[in-house]
Amino acid sequence: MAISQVVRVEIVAPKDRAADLLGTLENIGKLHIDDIHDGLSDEDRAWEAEHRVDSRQVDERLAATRIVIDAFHRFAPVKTGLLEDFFSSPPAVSDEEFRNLTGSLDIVAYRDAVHAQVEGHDAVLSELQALRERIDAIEPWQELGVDLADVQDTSYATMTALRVPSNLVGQLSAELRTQAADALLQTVAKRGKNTYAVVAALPGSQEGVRAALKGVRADEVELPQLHTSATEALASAQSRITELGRRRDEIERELAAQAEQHRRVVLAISDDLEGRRRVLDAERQLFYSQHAAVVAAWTEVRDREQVEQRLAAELPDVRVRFTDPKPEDAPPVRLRNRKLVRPFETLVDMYGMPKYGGIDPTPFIAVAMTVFYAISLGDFGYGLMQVLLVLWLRKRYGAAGGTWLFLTMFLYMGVATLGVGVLTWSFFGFTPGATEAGKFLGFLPLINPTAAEDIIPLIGIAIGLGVVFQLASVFAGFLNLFKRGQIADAIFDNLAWFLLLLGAFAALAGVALDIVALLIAGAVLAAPGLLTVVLFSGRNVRNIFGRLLAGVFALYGIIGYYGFVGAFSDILSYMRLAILSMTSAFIAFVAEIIGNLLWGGEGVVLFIVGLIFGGLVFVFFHILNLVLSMLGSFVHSLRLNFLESFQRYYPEGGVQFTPLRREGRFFRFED
Amino acid sequence: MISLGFAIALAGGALAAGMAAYGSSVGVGKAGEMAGGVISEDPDKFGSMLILQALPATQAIYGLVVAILVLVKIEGFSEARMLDLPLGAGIAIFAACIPAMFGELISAIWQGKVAVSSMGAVAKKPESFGRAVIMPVMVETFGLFALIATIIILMVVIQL
Repeated sequence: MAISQVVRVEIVAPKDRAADLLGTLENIGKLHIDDIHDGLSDEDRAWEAEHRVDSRQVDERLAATRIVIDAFHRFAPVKTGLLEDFFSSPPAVSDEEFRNLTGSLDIVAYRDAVHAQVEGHDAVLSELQALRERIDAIEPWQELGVDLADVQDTSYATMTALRVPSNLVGQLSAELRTQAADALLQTVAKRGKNTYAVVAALPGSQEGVRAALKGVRADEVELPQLHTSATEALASAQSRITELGRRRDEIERELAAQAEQHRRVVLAISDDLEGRRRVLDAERQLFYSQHAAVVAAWTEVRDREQVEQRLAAELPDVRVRFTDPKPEDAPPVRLRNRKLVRPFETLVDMYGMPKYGGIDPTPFIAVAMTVFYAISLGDFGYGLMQVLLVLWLRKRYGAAGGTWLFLTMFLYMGVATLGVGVLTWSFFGFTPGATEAGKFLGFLPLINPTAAEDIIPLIGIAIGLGVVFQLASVFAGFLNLFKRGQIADAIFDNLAWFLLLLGAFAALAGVALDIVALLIAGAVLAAPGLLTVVLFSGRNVRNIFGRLLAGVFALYGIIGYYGFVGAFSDILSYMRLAILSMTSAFIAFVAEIIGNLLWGGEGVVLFIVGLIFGGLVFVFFHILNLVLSMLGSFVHSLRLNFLESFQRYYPEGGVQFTPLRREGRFFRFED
Repeated sequence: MISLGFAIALAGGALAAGMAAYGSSVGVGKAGEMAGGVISEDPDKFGSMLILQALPATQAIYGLVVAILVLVKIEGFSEARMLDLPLGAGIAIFAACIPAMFGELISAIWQGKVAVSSMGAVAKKPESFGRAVIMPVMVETFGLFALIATIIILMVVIQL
C-alpha cells in the first residue's frame, strides 16, 4: 500500500551515443524520462547545442503501415464479438519472434503494392456504379424499339422524353389536348409508380407541351446518348458488369489472401515503429552540449541496482548519478499495492494519480468500491453469476495486464456480493426457508430490500455508511496533507472539519437516541473544530474581520475546504446504495412472481408449457436485471468514490510513472 | 374504498418520482450525446465522461425516495394503510411533494446541460476534470434543497 519511492537518475553520454543510450533504456524499461527543458533557465539553455531529431522516415513508414492495416481491415476484417473486443488482450510475443516478424517485409514497398491493388479495386467499383446508373437510365426506354439517337428534335418536330406518375397519365393527355393540340403522347414503359413516355409536337407547340407537363408535375428526362438500340446497349452494359464483377472478386480475394498472409507481420511492424517513434520523442527531451547528451529520468528505488548494473554492463562509457527527489521536484507516481488491492489501481489510473509523497488511495477505494457495489447488487445468485462470469471471461479470452486487473476487481466485488446476498438472504429474488411468519434460522434475512418495514432502515444504513465514509475521507485527506508536509492545511482544514463533523454527528445521534452523554461528547468534539474552521479558514486574509467573515462563509461551503451544505449533500447521496439495492431486489422479486404465475399449470401439457415459458421469462428478467444492476452498481459506486469521497482527500493530481519501454498495441511483449 | 385524500397523496409521491425520473433521463440523455462525441474522438476519456454523464441520475433517486416517504407517511406498505385519509391531509402531502417535483425535474435538466459544458472542458483539457465536475454538482445542490424541503414538510410539519 504505497506510492513507490523513486530516485532521480541523471545520465551523461557521448552525444553520438544518445540513440544507443535510449535503446538501452528502452530495453531496461525501468526509467521514466523527463523533458529536461522544462524549467530550464535561459542561461542553461544558452549552453545547448543544436541537435535535430529526424522522425520523417519513421513517420512515413508508420503512415504506410496504417494504410496497409486499413486495407486489410477493409478486405479481410477480423470479426470479433463484443465480449472479445472488451476482454481479450493482445497475444504475447517473444523477442526473437518479434524480430523475425518485423524484419521480413519492406513496408513502404508493400504499401505501394497494396495501394495499387486497392486503387484498381476502387476504379472497378466506380465503373460498376456508373454502369448501373446507365442501366437504370436506359432500361425504361428499351421498349421504344428505335435507336435512342433517333429520338431527337428536328426542324419539323420536337421530341420530349418524360417521367410521369402513372395515375396522372390520363390527366397529362387531357392537358396536352388543351395546351398543345398537335402533340402526340406515346407511353413507353411503366416502372414502379411512374410511367415513361415521349411527346412529339410541332416546334411551335413546345411551350404548350412544357405547360402541360408542369400542370401534372411530370419531369422531363434526358435520354441516354446511344448510337445503338436500348436493348443492345443494355446487353453490352450487362456483359461489362459481369466482367468487372469477376475482376472485383478477384482483387478482393487477392487482398484477403494478402491480409491472411501478412497481417501479423504488418501489425508487428506497426508496434515496432510506434516504439521507435517513442524513442525519438524521448531523444527530443534530452539536453545536448557540443559533445554530450544528458538524460534526466526517474526510476523506482527497488530498480536502482538493476538499472545501475545494466548501464555499466551495456554502456560503460556513460556516467550515471542517482539523487533523492528535492522538495521542489514533482516525481512521477507509481503505485505498488498488494495482490488483493492491486486490481483497484485501474480506478485510480482512470482518474489520475495522487501526488508523490502523499498517500495512495487504492486501499481506500478498494474497500469503498467493494462495499458500495456489494450493497447495491446485494443478491447471492447475482454475485455467484458475476463470479462465474468473470472466471469464464478471464479464461476464455486470456485476459492479461489491465484487462486481467479489471476483471479481477469484478471478481472481488462479486465475492463481496455473495456475502451481502447471504445477509439479505436473497437468491435470484427467492428467500429460501424464510416466510412471513419467521426468518430462516431466526435471523435471515437481516435486512430485506423488498420488505416494507426494512426500506427505511435500509436507507438509514446507506446514510450511515455515507457518514462513515465521508469522515474517513476527510481524515484520509488529513493524513495525505500531513505526509506531504502541508501541516497547516492538514490541521486547519481537514482535521478541523473532521472534528466538527464527527462532533456534529455524535451530537445529532445523542439527540435522536436521547443519550445526553453522547450529545455532550459531540459538542465537546465539535467546538474546537468549529472554532478552528471559523478562525483559520480565511487564514490568508490579513484583515481580522475579513478573516472571520471568510470563516463563517467556509461553514456554508462557499469558500474553503468543505462546508455543511457539501457534507450534507455528500452524505445524502449515499442513499443511492439503498435505492439501487431495492431496484435490483424488486426486479428479481418480479421475475420470481411472473415465473410462479406461469409455473404449475394443471395437466401435463399446461405444466410443460408453463415450465418452459415461465423458465424463459424467469431467465430473461434475471439476465436483464443482472446486467443493468451490475452496470448501475458499478457506475454509482464509482461516482460515490470519485465525487463524494475522492475529492475530500485527493485535491491535486500527480504525474503517472510511464517508463520508456517496449509496449505494443497489437502484441504483448514477454518480460 | 379509497378516499380522495389518499389518492391525492399518492399522486404527489408518484409525480415526484415520475418528474424526477423524467428530468434525470433528459439530463443524462443530453450528457450522453456529448459523451458519445467526446469518446469517438478520444476513447481514453470514457471514465471521466461516465462520471459526468451519471451526475443527473441522482435526482431520479431523490424522487424515488420522496415516493417511498409518502408511502411510509400514509402507511402504504402496511395493512393499516390510510385509505380514508382526509382530503386536507392528502392535499397537504401533495403540496409537500411540490418542491421535489419541480426541484428535481429542473435541476436534473440543467445539470445535464452544465455537464455537457464540463465535458467540453474535459475534452479540451483533461486535467480540468476535478474542477469541471464541480460546476454540475453545484446545480445538484438545489435538487437537494428541494428534497430536504419536501422531507421536512412531509415528516416534520404534516402531522396526520
